[in-house]
Amino acid sequence: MPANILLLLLLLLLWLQSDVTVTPTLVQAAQTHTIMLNAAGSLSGLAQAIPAGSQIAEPWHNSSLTWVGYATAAAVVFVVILLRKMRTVTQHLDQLKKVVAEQSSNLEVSNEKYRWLIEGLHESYVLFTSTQDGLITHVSPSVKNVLGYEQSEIINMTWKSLMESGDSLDDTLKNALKRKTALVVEAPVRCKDGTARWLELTQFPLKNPSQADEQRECIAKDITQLKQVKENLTAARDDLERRVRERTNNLQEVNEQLNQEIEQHQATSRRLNQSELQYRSIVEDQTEMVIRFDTHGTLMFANRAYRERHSLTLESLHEFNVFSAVHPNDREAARQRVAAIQTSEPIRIPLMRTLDEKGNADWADWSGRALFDEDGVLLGYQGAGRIITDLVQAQQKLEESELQYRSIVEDQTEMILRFGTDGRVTFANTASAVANGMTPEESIGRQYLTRVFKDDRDNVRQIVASTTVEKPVQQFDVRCYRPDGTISRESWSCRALVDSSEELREYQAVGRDITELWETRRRLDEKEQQLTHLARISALGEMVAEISHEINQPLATIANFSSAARLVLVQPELVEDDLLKLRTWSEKTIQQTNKINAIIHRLRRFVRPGSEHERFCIKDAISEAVLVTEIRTRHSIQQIEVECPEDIPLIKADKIQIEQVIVNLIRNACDSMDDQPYGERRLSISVSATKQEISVCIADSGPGVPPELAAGIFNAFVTTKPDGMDIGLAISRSIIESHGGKIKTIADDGGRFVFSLPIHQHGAHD
Amino acid sequence: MTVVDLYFPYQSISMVPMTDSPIIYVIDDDQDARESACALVSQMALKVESFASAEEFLATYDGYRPACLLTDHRMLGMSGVELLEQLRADRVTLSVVVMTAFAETELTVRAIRSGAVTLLEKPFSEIALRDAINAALKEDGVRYSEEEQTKQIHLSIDSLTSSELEVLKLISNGQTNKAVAIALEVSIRTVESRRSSIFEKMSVDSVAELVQLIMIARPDLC
Repeated sequence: MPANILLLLLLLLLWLQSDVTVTPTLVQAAQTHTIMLNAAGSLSGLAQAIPAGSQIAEPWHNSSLTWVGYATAAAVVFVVILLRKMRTVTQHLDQLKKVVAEQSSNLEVSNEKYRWLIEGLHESYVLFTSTQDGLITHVSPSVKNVLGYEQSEIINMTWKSLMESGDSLDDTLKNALKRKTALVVEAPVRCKDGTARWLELTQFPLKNPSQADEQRECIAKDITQLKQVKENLTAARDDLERRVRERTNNLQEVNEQLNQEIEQHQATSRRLNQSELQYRSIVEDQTEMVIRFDTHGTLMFANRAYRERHSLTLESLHEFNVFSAVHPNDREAARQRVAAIQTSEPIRIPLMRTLDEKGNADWADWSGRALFDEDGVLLGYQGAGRIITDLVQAQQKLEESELQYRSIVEDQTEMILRFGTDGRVTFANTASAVANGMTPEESIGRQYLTRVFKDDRDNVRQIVASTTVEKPVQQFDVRCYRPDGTISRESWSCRALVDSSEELREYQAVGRDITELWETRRRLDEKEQQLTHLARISALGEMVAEISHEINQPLATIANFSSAARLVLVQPELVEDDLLKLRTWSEKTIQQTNKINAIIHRLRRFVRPGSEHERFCIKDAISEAVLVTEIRTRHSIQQIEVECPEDIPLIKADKIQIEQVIVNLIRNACDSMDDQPYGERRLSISVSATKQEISVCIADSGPGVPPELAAGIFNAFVTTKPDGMDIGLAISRSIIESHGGKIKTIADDGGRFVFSLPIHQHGAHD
Repeated sequence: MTVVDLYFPYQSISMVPMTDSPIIYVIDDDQDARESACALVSQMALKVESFASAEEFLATYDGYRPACLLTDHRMLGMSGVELLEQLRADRVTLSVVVMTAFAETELTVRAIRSGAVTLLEKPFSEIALRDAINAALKEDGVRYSEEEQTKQIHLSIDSLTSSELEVLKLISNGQTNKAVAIALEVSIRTVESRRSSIFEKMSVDSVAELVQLIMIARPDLC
């Protein structure tokens, strides 16, 4: 079977060819050949099959040779084609060889360039090549210079061991590599000899995709010196800044200190100026005379008061002698006193007559001292004095009146009695004897009580009996008989006289006739009662217009409603509406009658005379008074405020009278606000209390009482109103004072009247 | 300012409502008194309007006529007589009756002098009130119609031309046509024609009538 062997050979060739993947056309060619081969093969197979036992035809007998011929022809064709193809392949291969040779020559050139570059690197540059993990695989020879290591020593060291900062930097470099970015870092490294150096590493990724293990290429620059220089510079700059700051601070502090000092100086000089001014004004302005004179008496300085008194000017005073101003009678004495001053102790000449230039003498009080310099030498004297003529005169007058008084006392008309425990008189002075209608001698031995009015005797006996050692003095008023049979009022004070053993020996009584006083007081009381009543009546008179109005209003309303009702009732027909009207009107009518009742009731209370004391709360009195004056106030005042604490204590007084006082004050307040616009009028009544008394204050927004009239306004018939007599305040005061209280007016923001009433009452005339 | 404004300064109206039913205005600051007065007046079959203060009335009154004002004197703020004086000062001429609880002489004189119809002393009877209101309304009616008439005359006079006015002045003084013609230097014919025009506009037939009207409204022209 030679065709099979050919086939096998061809297949083998194909298989061999198939390893050369140079050109696809070759493969295609092979494929084509395979097909052809197959075809040839099948044909040869067929040729073989036919001869074996076939009777196909003689042509086929010849055909076995033809088949071999065909197969050989095919094989020859095939080989020719193959040889042609192989020529193409060889051509391709030649081309490739050329390309490769070009590339390798380029590569060689590059390598050469690279080697020159590396070998020729500046001393301070080192080129590192390392694996991804940092194992250094190649390093330029300059590494010896920079790091001290030999090339061979560096290789196979890791970056980590070289670098001071170890892992973190390494990781950064690795990451940059992964990201295929270039990176520049500064890394501290350790040299062979152990010193530290700084390198600037520029790492760049190699574009070498065919190599399995990626390499790191690093150019390291020694920047140690640079860094050092930079640090030095920075340090120097910081230092400079610091020094500048310090200096600035220093300067500021100094500045501030200077400012403070300046301020202090200014303040001191200001104070100094002020003191000087003050001193000067004190000396100049005072009415006391201040002088300084030398040992001869010549004036060195005199203040204004002295200058004026003696008509001196600032120039002429230097020729003035102080002693010339002293009265001739006192002159010598004064001179001697002054000359006698040895020390700087102050001396006083309390009374000395001086003459002014007109020759008028005045009394003066001088005090002075001597002035010494540092060595103890006498420089002169300084004196201060004032004119006390008035004082002296006043004193003289006082002495005179004292004399008068003494003589009065000596000649007094007081009655003096002494009587024993049995009541017998042991001594009677002239006055007491005369009062009895006998001589002092005749009085002795008589009973002291005979003079006393019989109804008062028990009282007197009691009082005298209660005069003991413990309570030695008693005072009492008593009625006595006069020689002419009339009754006198006398005020006596009785004292128990004890002997040396503290035993009651006898009584001494001193008494005065107070009949006249008593009478006057009684008459005054009567008059006041009359006046009070009169004032009430007249006040009532004033209120008639107001009362008329107050009562007539409801009356008119009643009249109108009644008339209207009558008109409704005379209608021929009444409807529901009318009945409603009538009902409403009747109700309103009843209300009006209630109003009238209240008014009359109040009025009645107001007019009731007499003086009855009762316990009541001042609040009630105020409310009543406000109600009574409602008409007056309703039309005048926008606002009445009443302020009274809840726990105000009760007082015992005549309620009507107190109400009257408040009414009077309220009406006065209304009057005083007449000139004010309606909206601005305000009246307030406030109550306060202390332990002893309660105070009621009525304040209005009017102009108040002018201070010059304030004192006299409580006098009867003194009035600020142009029309009519205002008795009200005089009566009010007498009412308040008869209760033991006080009333006054204060000119404050508005008019203000305050009265006080004692809580524990002491009647003035009981 | 027209003639109308002179009389009615409160509202700019051109004509007063001309109805016949009068209104009684009641002013009193006491509510009960006010209500009772209103009740009585309205029971007398009169129209009534009430106010709590003089100020309220002044602010609200629209010049209605015929009218009568029944006011209390003593009130907070403006008093009754003060209100009366104020109204007269503002040339408001409606009739006023003043009520008071206490009629002092001084008050009475002051009220009457300012043109009050009468002073009613409280409490008053129904008859007294009726009399007062009647008198007031009568007076008001008369005065009102007089005012109207005067107004009319004024309007008529205003409608005259200036030349007619000149003629009017002269003939009112009794001048003959001839004298007028000489005085004004025009022809008698002109005077006559103007004269008849005047008579026409003034709605009169004779000089006597003319003079009557002039005396009422413009006495200064004669």
